[in-house]
Amino acid sequence: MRVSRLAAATVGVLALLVGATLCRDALSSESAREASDTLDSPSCEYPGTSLAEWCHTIDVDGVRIRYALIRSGQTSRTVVYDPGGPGVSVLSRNVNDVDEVLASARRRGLNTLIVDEPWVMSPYSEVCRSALSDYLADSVSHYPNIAGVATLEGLRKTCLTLESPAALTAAGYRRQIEEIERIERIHVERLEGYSFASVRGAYLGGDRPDMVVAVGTPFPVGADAEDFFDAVAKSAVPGEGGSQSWMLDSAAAYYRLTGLSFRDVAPEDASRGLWQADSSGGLSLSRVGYYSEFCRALTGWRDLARPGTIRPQSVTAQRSLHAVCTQVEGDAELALPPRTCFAVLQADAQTPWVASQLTRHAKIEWLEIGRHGEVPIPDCS
Amino acid sequence: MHGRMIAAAAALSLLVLPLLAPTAAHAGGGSADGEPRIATTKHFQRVGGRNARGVDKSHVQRYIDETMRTSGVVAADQLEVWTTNVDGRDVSAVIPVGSRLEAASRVSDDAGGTAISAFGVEFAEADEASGVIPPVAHLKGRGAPLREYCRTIWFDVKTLSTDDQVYDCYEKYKLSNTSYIYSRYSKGTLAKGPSSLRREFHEYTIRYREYKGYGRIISGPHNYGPLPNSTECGSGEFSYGGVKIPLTSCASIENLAGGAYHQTGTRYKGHATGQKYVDTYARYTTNGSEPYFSDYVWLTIGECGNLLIACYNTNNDYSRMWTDGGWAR
Repeated sequence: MRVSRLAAATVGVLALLVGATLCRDALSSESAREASDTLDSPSCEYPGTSLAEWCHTIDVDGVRIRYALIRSGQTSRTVVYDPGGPGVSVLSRNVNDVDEVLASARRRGLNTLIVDEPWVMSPYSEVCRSALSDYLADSVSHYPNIAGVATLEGLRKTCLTLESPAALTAAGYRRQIEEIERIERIHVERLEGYSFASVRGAYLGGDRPDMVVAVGTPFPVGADAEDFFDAVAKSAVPGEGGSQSWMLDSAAAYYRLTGLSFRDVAPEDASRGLWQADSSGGLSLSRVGYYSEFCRALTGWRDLARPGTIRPQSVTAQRSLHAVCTQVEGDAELALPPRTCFAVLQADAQTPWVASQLTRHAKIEWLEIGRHGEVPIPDCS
Repeated sequence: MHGRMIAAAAALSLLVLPLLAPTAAHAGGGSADGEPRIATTKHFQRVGGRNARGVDKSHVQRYIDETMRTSGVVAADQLEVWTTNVDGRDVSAVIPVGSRLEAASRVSDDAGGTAISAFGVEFAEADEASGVIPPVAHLKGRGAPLREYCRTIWFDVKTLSTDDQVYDCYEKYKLSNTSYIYSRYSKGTLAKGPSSLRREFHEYTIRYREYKGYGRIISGPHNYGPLPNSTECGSGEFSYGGVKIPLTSCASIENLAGGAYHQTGTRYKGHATGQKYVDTYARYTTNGSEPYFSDYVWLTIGECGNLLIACYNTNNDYSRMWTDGGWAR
């Protein structure tokens, strides 16, 4: 009974996506024009942030970003706190343990700086909106194979260029931090956080050999993409089967990455959650931020189009999700400073650790017990 | 069909005149008849988000955009615009399909050179509403809500070109089959007036209780808050069972836990200007089924002519009583 309902739902999703693609062109121009007239300009008030009291905006090389700076007395010494990402607005209810974070910084006489990703404040152009929708529709229709070459190329050339205001690169992040340091008269000497914070640490490490990077359950920055997905496959939950459908596989990946189940979130919704897709076949602008960083944080994306050996369904979905990373070169500017400390779970089903040349000098504390994003940040003193 | 309507209701309103009447101390500056004027309606026009036009369409687009920029996704066909007019003022709400706006109320008063305009709304949601799906990323853990959704409500300000707005959200966390955390956070944004006009929040109340017709909650609220001067207010966070909920402001708040139907909530009273946040949360034990709540929002706004001095606050409990929809039994 459940299977037949799910199958019907899958057909429905496909129909929606195709329909949305067909109708989009006719509707898009008017919608975009009206939207640009009526939407609020992103700021510290829009979208709302629980850190509004400390929030500021700044233009860096023509791109507006927002950040929260919580000072600790008159000092210029500052720690960047990064709860992770990419594709998430950390200032919009995604910074937890604020007091713990701030108290820890204050005990050490440090200011705390938290920076939102650029896409949160970026315009969403119609051409980019269209390219992302095409990518989703093509991924669904080709599944379990990845989206077509032309679609992938179209997306890369429209909104995933390094110049896109919604994209974040190592060079862009460095410029942001430098500009904040200049205006606020602070000096960033540490970067601490969770998971994808390891990538942000590697954005800064090359220019700041004296900086400290300390991350709990770090994302395996600089690892080979194939090695990463092999590790994901090996850590698959028992009982996970082979590919069934775009929706069921995407839902399986969502459940795995969130710890929720089909009893909590219906597969139709969970699959959209993985892709950040709305029910009309549109994708969130956050995907530009996500892909701009995720693709370049790993290397060796060339093999994603390779016909599959049998993989767990959640892994097949993740390969489809990241197809646009194919042929993207890893960011050559990534470098971790000598004083880099990671707390790594021996078994991390969400984001398994894979060593790389980039992380070879990092001091690693191995943990037997814990959950991703919920372990202490190493001291690294 | 209506039997499946559940949850969130909220109420608004009003109605017990003795409580609403100005006190003797306020009477000198009261309205012409010395009494607040009260109006309530349960009649709404309703249009699908995709078919919205004009101002309604812009409200839908803003809702979609704000949801996206806070790491969620929603499409116009998942939304509806509900509009009404109460006491000559337009009220418009963008809510998820399957939800209902059950009532809208307005109270107006005048005292001490301050014009008072209070609005409230009550929501009822369908259990089919799946909510905004939490994003997946490589992040610090915070616990993923079972459901979360926001509602935007726009209250007409006759003398200004923009409206007052409330962005009201809930998150429901499932700790086990019999243990849930329900959290709400609400952001009010006052329309900007000319430089000669001061506009301020005199009251901002959000509260919830189990929706009528449901008896799933066995006990609670437990671990409710925020409580003024509490550890949670000091830390800016409520943490329980792996769930971590950021708190925005505890200044000048009163906790409303207690009373019938497992009620809890937060009331702010003061003179805040511009934008104001309110949070509330509690844990509940259930009979093994997901609980559903009735959600209530109340906003009392004062207007006066001195930008540098706080307006006269009647301190009247305009929101104290309510009788509508899922809120009342």
